[in-house]
Amino acid sequence: MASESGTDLYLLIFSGTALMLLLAFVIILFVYLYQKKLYQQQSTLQLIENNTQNALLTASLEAEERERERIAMNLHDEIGASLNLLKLNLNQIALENKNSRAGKEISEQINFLDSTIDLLRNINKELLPPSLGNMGIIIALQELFEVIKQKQSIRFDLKTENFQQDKICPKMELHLFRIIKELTNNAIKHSLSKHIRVKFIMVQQSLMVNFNYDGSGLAQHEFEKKLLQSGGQGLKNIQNRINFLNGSIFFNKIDDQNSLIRIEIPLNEKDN
Amino acid sequence: MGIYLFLVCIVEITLSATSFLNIKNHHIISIYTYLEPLLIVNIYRKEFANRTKTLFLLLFAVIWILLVAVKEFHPENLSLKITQHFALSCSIVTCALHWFYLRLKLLDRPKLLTEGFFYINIAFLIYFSGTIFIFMFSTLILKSTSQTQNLWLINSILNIILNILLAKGIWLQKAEQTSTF
Repeated sequence: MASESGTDLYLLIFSGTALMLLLAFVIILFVYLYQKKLYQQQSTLQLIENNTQNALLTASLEAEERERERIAMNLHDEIGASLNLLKLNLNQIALENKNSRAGKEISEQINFLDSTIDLLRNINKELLPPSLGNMGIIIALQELFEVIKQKQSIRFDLKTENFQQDKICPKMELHLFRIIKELTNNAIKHSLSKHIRVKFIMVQQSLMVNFNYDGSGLAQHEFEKKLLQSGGQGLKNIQNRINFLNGSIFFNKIDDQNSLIRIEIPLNEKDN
Repeated sequence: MGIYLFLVCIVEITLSATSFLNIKNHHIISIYTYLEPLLIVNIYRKEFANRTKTLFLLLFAVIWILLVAVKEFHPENLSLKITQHFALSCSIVTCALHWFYLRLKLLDRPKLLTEGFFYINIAFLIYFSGTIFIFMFSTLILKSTSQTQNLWLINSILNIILNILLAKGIWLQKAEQTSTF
């Protein structure tokens, strides 16, 4: 009788153990397969979200650039041409009345018109740097730095290494130009920088830009924090443009007197 | 984790040696029963990293130590022994299931098969769910030698599986740490 109850207990333990093990295996299998499925779904959703965001970003940046181009063209072709024609006519009138008081006044107004035409030209350059399309990003940046140097005593060093202009597509050139312009403005405005060094390096399939400046800049975590805050539109634009170019940007605060910003952009053959 | 595996290794070697030399080894088992759950609690504490869950694990550890201590004074009390094993197995199985639940909820690990702790968790789940009945009721059929031997054979097989999976888990965790640096 005792042996029979022992066998029953033995069978109970054995079947209980088998059942528990089966349950454990089923749970492990379920968790593994379900986690895999959920993760794939999440990755797909993330991909769709990223693609949508990129498409929106691309559309907004392209619309912005198209609008800038349109305004620049209108200013140049309509207002610029009209002002030049007005200047020619006034010159003609001034020549015809050069000895009269009215002629002298017209000459003064021509000087004022000249400064207006210069102002319009500068606005045009701001909207769409003419040398960017014709001469390339390096010349465009040199011109930009020259303009800044005329107003403020800042030293610029622009260097290149293995740089090939033909490997950069016009879109990349334009966005890169705007990024460097924004970084330059920030360095002058916030870090009171007096010496800015920009170096373009082409390494295999990517373009690296090192933007060094004296003065206390941002560290990477500060940059990321500012992106999440409500202000700092300039930095957000930089990040958007970097995302548009599928590149990366890294802010390095070397010390209180030196900062480095490193940009890396992949060079895509089909863009050229 | 390494400490746990090292302790298991030392205990197994000592138990084998003492039984071979016909030396009583129940004191070693007693010390091990104190340490094992504490080490497992510590392993899960690091994974959960949550104050409430850590408090729950600490509570479990305290209850466990009290149960073992009470059992030391009443070694012949079988229901106490059954409760002790049941509490240990249930708590660790709960921890293992909770770890799985967290992975499904958070979806923070892309590939579970390359995750070191996945194997460690599986090891604990399989061993403690597989041996829950053996530890609880085997004492009741201690006299029936051939049947008890069969049950201890299952325990030994599960123990081997546990140690293989733990070793695999530690190996993968070490590789993860190396790749992080």
